[in-house]
Amino acid sequence: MREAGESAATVPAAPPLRLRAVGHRYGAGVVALRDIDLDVEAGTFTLILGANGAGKTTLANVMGGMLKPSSGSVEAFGAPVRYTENRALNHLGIVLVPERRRLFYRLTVRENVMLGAYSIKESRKQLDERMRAVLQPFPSSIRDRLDVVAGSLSGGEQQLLAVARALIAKPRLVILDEPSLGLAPRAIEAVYDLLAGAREQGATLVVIEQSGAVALQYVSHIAILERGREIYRGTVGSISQEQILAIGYVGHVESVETTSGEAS
Amino acid sequence: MNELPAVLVSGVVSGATYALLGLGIVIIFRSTDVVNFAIGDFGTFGVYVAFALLTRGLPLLIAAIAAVGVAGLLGVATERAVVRPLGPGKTFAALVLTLALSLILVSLAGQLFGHQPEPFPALVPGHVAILGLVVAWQKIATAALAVVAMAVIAFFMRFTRLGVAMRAAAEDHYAARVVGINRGLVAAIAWFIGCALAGLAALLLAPDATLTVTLMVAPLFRAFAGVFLGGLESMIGAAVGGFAIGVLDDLAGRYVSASFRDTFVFAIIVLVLFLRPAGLLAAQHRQRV
Repeated sequence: MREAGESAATVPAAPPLRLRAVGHRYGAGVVALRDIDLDVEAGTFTLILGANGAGKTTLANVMGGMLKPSSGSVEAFGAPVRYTENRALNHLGIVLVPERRRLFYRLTVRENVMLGAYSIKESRKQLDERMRAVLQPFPSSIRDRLDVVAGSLSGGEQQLLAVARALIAKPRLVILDEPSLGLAPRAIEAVYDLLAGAREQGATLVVIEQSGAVALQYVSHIAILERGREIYRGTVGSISQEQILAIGYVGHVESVETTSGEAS
Repeated sequence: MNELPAVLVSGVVSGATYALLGLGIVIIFRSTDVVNFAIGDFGTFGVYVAFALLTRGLPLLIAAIAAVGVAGLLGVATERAVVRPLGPGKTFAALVLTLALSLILVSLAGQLFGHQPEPFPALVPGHVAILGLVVAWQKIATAALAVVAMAVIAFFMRFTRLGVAMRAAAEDHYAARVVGINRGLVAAIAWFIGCALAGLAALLLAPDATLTVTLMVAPLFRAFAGVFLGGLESMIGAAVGGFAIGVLDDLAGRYVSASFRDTFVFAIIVLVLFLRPAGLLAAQHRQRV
């Protein structure tokens, strides 16, 4: 477990996440991921785009420590990730915001945020102070409703709460699986504004989406998944908006060259 | 003389022990999805250990703590050695295994401690007259200790980090893992608390019932009735259900027929399952959320 004094800004030299030849198959036949190489450099904001069935959630679970891939290697901050049945990678400073949020809907907003800091040893007073600081940029619909049951929040508010639950963990790397799913553009922007703020404070971010419409204005790097395989990787400027937006609709990119090397 | 007050007091007191047992069943079920049919026998076993300590001259308080502790540790050992190796989702296999464990514990207790009923001393001896009604201090102590234990559990679940984590894990195992809650730890604690509550219930029942290997058979049956009444997912429901069954049971025993008590309790279970399978209180709970 990490100590309370450790700050999110102390980023070690090794990249937060390094995937090499990562593949995963469920049961006998279904291949969800094949041969994924991915470096997430410290301080970057990476968007991973893919259509339905491209392996997005599988990749998110692998990166977040929830699922041990059937092949390949995953390193976090220079050390091999040890996958265990019992818990994710919060103790390493890697936090997953899972698909469809997965809040504790019967618990209060306060309890949800509190549980985000479960891996951090600190006094209740320290936690309360940090909670106030972390929630400061959040809208009052979250900040002033700490004792409301999470299940009674709107979809957009729930996604914000999921982000708050991640940020209270002092994350060095946050992985978000489709944070914009089912949200109005306004609400999506609210989520990404908060993520941009977290990045300014030193966190590295990976966001996995089906549609990059809003995300593109915020991210620094892009990777594209198609049927479990990575078909493109580069910085934001290296691929046209039209090509990216096409992903969400047709599920594949025709004119982008397949990459094993960087296309930046 | 009007018997109703005495019957009600007796019902509330036995209801308190059913509430403890029911709460134990629900805490274990919520955290590991296992219905532990051996929970009553863990309690009985704990009280036998307490009895052995008493006969060796140890003070009642030490023996009482031992009863609760032994029951809790039996729960932890069962979760670790029997339930966890099955893997998640094997709820039916786990249920059958706890039934087997119950049979094993009953015969083991018989072998170790004998089948003769043993007199177990009252925690607090004597009687007191309240408004003309003579009540044994043991009954008052039973109700009071049960209520205190339930208040402690409520505080723990509501206000401590671990308690909140246990409620979170009960709601969503995956999300609990996401925030770094160790599922194994939560399961172990749930089994300890649940079975320790059974130990306390057995300890409170033993003085009136005398100590036998089947001490907890009838109370467990009633605790289950209470749990069905309140809903298998609801801690408050199990506690309230336990009290309700205690009172109904004694009312039926006095005013309907003493020999039809079990039938009466069973009829309540059937009726509730028929009308509201999720439990009377569980349904209300869901509407509120």
